[in-house]
Amino acid sequence: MTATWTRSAETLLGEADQSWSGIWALTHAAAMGALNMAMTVPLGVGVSISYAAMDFREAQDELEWARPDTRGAAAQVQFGALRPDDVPAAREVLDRLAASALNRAAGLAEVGTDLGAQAALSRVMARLITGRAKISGRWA
Amino acid sequence: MTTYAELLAQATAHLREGSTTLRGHRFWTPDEALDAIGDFHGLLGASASHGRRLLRPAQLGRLGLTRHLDGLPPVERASIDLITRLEAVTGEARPHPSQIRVGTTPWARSALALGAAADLVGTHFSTDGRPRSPDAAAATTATFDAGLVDLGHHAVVALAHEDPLALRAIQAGVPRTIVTRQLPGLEALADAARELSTQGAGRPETLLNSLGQTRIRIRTDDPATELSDRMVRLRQGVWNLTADHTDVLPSLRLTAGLGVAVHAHAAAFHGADITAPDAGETTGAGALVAHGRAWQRLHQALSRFAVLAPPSTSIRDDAVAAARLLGELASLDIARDRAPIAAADRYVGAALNGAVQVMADIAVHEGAAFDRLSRAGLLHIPARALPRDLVTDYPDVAAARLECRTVPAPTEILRAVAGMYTEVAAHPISSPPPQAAGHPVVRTSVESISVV
Repeated sequence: MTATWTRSAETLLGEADQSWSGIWALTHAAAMGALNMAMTVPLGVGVSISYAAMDFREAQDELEWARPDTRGAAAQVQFGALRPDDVPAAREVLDRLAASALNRAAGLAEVGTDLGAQAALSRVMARLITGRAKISGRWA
Repeated sequence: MTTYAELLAQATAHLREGSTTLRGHRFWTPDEALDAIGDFHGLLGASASHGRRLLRPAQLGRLGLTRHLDGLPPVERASIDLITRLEAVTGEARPHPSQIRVGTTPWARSALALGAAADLVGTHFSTDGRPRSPDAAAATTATFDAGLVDLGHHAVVALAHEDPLALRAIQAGVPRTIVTRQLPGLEALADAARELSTQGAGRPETLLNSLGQTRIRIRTDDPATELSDRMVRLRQGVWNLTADHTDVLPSLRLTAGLGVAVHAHAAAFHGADITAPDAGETTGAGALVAHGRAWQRLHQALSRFAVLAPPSTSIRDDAVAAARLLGELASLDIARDRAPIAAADRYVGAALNGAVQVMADIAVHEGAAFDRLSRAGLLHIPARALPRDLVTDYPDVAAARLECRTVPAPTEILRAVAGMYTEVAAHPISSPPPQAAGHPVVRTSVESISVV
């Protein structure tokens, strides 16, 4: 596993707060990381990763639609290139990013009172759950 | 799915059946003979209506392209001659739909099939002649001319049965005067039909044969059939995007993801080991893998743009269902050996090959939609997602990067994506090996990304 992936993910997980922009940063990282990963792995494996990237990207769309100001408010994180041997560990990293975004979204939905925001968060969570299932291989 | 070619084939088959019946059987009563004559007139009327239906778009396509002095083109002149002569025989009055009974004679059934084919063509065009489907958009004046020539052939065969029909009617006891009034000797019509059937120097590339239903009802009884129907409906949906003035980028992104899956499953079916790193082959199943990678690069590039709306519901439904069906038809985990495929599998192979072809068609329409979006200036991208060398060239982009704003996508990015559409629009078998695009954003398969 290249150090850039784990280090970048750890940084992001540490810095992302329990807010819309925090969820956006984690979701965006998961989406772009999945797109990168899909290009690295064999095509047969890359299909389910591409599906996961689509789910994460749609979750990001939902966040941007509900809170347009969240886009670009987080710190910059670099993900480096990936070797084929690093794929299992990369899956783990993306799963952690998505799980973290999911937990933050659930926490935000629990304390929120705005019905529109809660509906948006529920759609975000649905996408994150299906994306995680595809990344981890539980659901091709 | 019923197509124009199938309906014409039905019309011809019923005509052949009528011919066989006339040759081998007599009418037992005068009423039976008169029914057959009435249905024969119905067939001639259906031929005229069918001709009118094809003539209208052909004439619209020629508007402004011919001078009055040149006169009408030969096909159009022969068609109008035949149609007006047919209408003179059958009259302009048409029975109310409630009065039309189920076709009891082969002539009536042939007329129904011919009428249905004309209606099918009609559904592909709006009332002012604009195309409503990708097939209609691809049809040219030459396409309709070819259809009219085919109709001429059909009319020649139909009119050849006038004399046998008249003789059988007289044999059944129908008064000769009535027979002569109904079938007065239609040699002039037969000549006009022959004249039309001999027009047209060559067959155009696009024929009406592939015209199907514009509103496709998905058959869900068999995964291969359902996949074919879904893909055709997806193609129709994507074609509609070219005239859609909302943000269609999410739909383009979704179908790009499906393009990856279609090529991966087709490659797996044809024996490529897609669980191992790419072998780099550019022929056979290896070409499908390379094409899948091209769709992947496109998917990655499209995912960078900011979007305003969710994907079209119809496209999303079909794409999700198609992804499920692909998994049912060809597993990605099991590499097939290259042994001859069983007969039952060939049906699946045909559906997957068809899906690959449809994806190439979809890429053409998507490329047009993307081009419209980019020319309209509707494509935005977060400034922080842009590579640094691009940012330094544009001070306003640099400012946007600092302020975490989105900016209109630079021309370099748009040109690179347009190039990717050109790449995926070629069928894998004829496509050149993937070439590196001219910009670092899309040149490398794996690159650093920035999260802002």
